[in-house]
Amino acid sequence: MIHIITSRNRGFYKPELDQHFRLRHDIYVVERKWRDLAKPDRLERDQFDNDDAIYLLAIDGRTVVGGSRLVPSTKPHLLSEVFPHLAQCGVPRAPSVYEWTRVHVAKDRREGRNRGRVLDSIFCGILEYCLAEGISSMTALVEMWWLPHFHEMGWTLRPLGLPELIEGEWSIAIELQVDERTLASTRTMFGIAKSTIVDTKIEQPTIHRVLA
Amino acid sequence: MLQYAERMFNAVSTFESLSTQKDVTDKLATILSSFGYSAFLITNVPEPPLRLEPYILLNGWPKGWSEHYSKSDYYKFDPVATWCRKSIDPFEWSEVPYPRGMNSRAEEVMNVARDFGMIEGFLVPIVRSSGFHACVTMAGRSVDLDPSAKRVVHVISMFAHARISALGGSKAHDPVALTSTEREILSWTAAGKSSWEIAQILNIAKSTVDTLANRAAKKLDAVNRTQAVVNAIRGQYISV
Repeated sequence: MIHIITSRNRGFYKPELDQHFRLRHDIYVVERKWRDLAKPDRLERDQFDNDDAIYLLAIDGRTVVGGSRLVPSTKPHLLSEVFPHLAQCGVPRAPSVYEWTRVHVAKDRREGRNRGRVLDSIFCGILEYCLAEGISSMTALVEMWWLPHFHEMGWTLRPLGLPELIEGEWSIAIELQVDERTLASTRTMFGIAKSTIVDTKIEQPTIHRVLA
Repeated sequence: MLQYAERMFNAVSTFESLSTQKDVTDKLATILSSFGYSAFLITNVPEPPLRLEPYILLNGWPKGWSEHYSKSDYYKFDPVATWCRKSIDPFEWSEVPYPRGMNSRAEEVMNVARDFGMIEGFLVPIVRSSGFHACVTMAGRSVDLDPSAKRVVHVISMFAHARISALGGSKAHDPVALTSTEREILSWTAAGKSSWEIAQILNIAKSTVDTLANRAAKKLDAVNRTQAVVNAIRGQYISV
């Protein structure tokens, strides 16, 4: 299931967030060999892992098995600060636009009986969350081979610039439209009928919980 | 470079607005010809001994070439098709390795293609979530050599393929849409597991395994589960 972690509830999720940064290190630094991200503490964190970041973590029991991150496009983000040259048609910046980065699934959840399941729930969860929060589109920097997968799920994409080789992979900046139709077609594709987001109630102010 | 980015941006938004396969085809033909490509093909790329013809989505090859290709059984020797099934990144036909100067069938395919005016070729592989390969492949006599041109063609090809598929052009010959559970069941069957064992592995009821296996078999046009597995492996729906 997908847990949403923002600056408001991250105190409750310290162990899971640490697991998340360690998992990102294992995937991006060790597996994908993005050496620039290597840190001595083996936690992969960059300048956009700040109070504005929103994490969607896939958690199974107490184990973080995947996740992704949203950053407001109105604040400094990967596309605006590091890769602006990939958006020759301009970097979209608006309160309703968020940048979607670090979509990942733990290696042992990509094969066998759970193959695809974690990623499916992340795709559904992100759309669900954006719709609930009034986020109308996401920008992302993705490898070109993601495009057919987005297209198959019925997502509407807009390229923001020409593809370039990043770490040996053809990558492109895109804007992904979020709407009810997209969530519906994505759920249909994966046979997911209901919400994949956990309702933790943790975000409620303490006083409400005491009264309840 | 900005000029190329704008060409790409315009093409992609035009595809979105088109509502018939023919319009997308015509638009794609115009765009590709502006880069020097006079012929193109959008197709799924099955594993031989399956034949190519039933899997073609859009045929924009020169007159006579498809007929000759089919009659001469070129598909299983075509080095470009073979290379496509192993590739994620786009490539020039000229980069494809095959034995040259040895009168091989592969060389014959490439030489005859040249006789049909397909001198400079480029192929964009499209790897679908099922693992099944599709591609947009194109050729012409003299093409735009600017590296930005290739990147525009890469993007446009993917969006054209998506639009053609969304407009239902591929329905008749589309590889069967198996759900992830159906694929898993076929994978385990291929590995020699019984229904009962698969039920244990996937933590679902044995009756569910049987129901889903039968449904997959039906989708794959197979009479029983063994044949379904064979068809699925051939069509690359599952990996063993």
